[in-house]
Amino acid sequence: MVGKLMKYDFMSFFRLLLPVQLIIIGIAAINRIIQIFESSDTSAYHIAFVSSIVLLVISCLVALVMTVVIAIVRFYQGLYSKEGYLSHTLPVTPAQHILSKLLVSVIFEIGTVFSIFLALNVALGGEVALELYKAGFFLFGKAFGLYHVHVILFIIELVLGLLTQAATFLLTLYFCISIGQLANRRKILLAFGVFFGLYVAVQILLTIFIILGIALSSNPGWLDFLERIVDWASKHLIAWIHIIAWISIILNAVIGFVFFLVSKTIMTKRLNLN
Amino acid sequence: MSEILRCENLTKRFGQTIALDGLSLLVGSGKIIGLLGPNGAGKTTLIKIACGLLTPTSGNVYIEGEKPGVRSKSIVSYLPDVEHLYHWMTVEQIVLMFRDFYEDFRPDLAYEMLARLGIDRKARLKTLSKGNKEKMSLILVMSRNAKLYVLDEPIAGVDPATRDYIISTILNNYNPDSSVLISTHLISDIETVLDEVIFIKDGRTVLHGSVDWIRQQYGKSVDELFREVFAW
Repeated sequence: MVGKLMKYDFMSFFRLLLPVQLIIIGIAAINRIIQIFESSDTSAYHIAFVSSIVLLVISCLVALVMTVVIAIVRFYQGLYSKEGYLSHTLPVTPAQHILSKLLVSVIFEIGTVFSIFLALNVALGGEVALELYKAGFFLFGKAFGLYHVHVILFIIELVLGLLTQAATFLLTLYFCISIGQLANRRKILLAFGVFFGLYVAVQILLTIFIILGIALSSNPGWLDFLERIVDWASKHLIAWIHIIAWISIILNAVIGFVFFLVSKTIMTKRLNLN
Repeated sequence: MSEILRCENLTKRFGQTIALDGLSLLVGSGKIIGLLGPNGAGKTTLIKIACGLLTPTSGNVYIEGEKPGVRSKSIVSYLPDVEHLYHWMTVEQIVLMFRDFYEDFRPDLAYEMLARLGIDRKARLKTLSKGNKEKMSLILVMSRNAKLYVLDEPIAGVDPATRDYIISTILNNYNPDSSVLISTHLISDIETVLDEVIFIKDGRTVLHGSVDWIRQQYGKSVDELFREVFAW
């Protein structure tokens, strides 16, 4: 059933995001065409070139923001507005609904990044892009020579880290929207309130950790423990990076899973479409 | 007669407002039942709870002996009182969507009914008139071979010709072994097709019986009795 849900979620995202992604590539193509007149070196050329670059950067940022905005809108509209009357009467579980929306959103986030990458390639042109690729492969080769298989592991960790980060961010937004639905009125306002409440809670927690750290700094045992960790990390830098990466991935996944469970529970036990 | 819908002491509160107040009822299969009551009586709330769109404050609802969930949604065909179809889809896409999700959906029947209305398969739902959107929703709901059809105010706010079309579509397409629960306050239009009626007032069942029994017992039509029971 998740596959079937994804099919229709994909359609709803596609019609909204495809134009945005085409616009980025279109602006990049315009920039490339302007570069044909580089030899003229006139002020008109410089103005046109800089304007198209600024436009390209802005459109890339807008595309990234829009992808997230559309992910939020599709989740809210599909599950908590009038469309919810259809979605929630389909013979599927709330978990399948959330999973479908999440996977499609992440796929489109990747798609937007890919479109930006493609646009930059178009704007840079064949030769410059080729030089950049060569430099990239050269650096990868050097790194591989120095750190061997760890480089590939770092790349895997980076990709996994980015994916879990993106998924957890979306699940956080789903959580806020779902909590907002518990109110009888001003549901969206409550969702915003929960989002900022979460932000404040994280800041408070970080501050507590910092204060604790400072307070413990007078404790010789704690200082000794920290010193041993720093010493070990400096001797095993690669292992340390792997550990930090996996802690970050697992922590993100756990937080995301908790938000997923809360949203699922609200849809299962506290759904109130009115 | 097997049981299709059972509500036990169902209560739903929205803040201080009580929409359902300990409502209990039992609906058997193979009947057309009118869920009748004035605006604000709790009809839509009851229907939404039965379809799993609202959670009751207390009490239970069972569809074929099970609480609302994936199984109940696969045997209940629900027509809400709002435009709920994905407006960005084409007629064909929404038919295919129903085919994908409901095993009991009959796309051929849906296409046949749509063709009779002259609705283009390639048309986007947002381009259809309000009347055609309502007919489209009804066609999708009645093209299912469901065990329980739940129709929330299907004839409210439509012209008499459309009203006739809706009633005939319901009568010609529902599965005779299943039940049809129709919520409305326009009783005279559907009285002739009803087997049973349930009167709801202030979130409680005030009367539940067959149309024949009501006529015998009270010596008046359901419409007349309704006007008497719900007189201001």
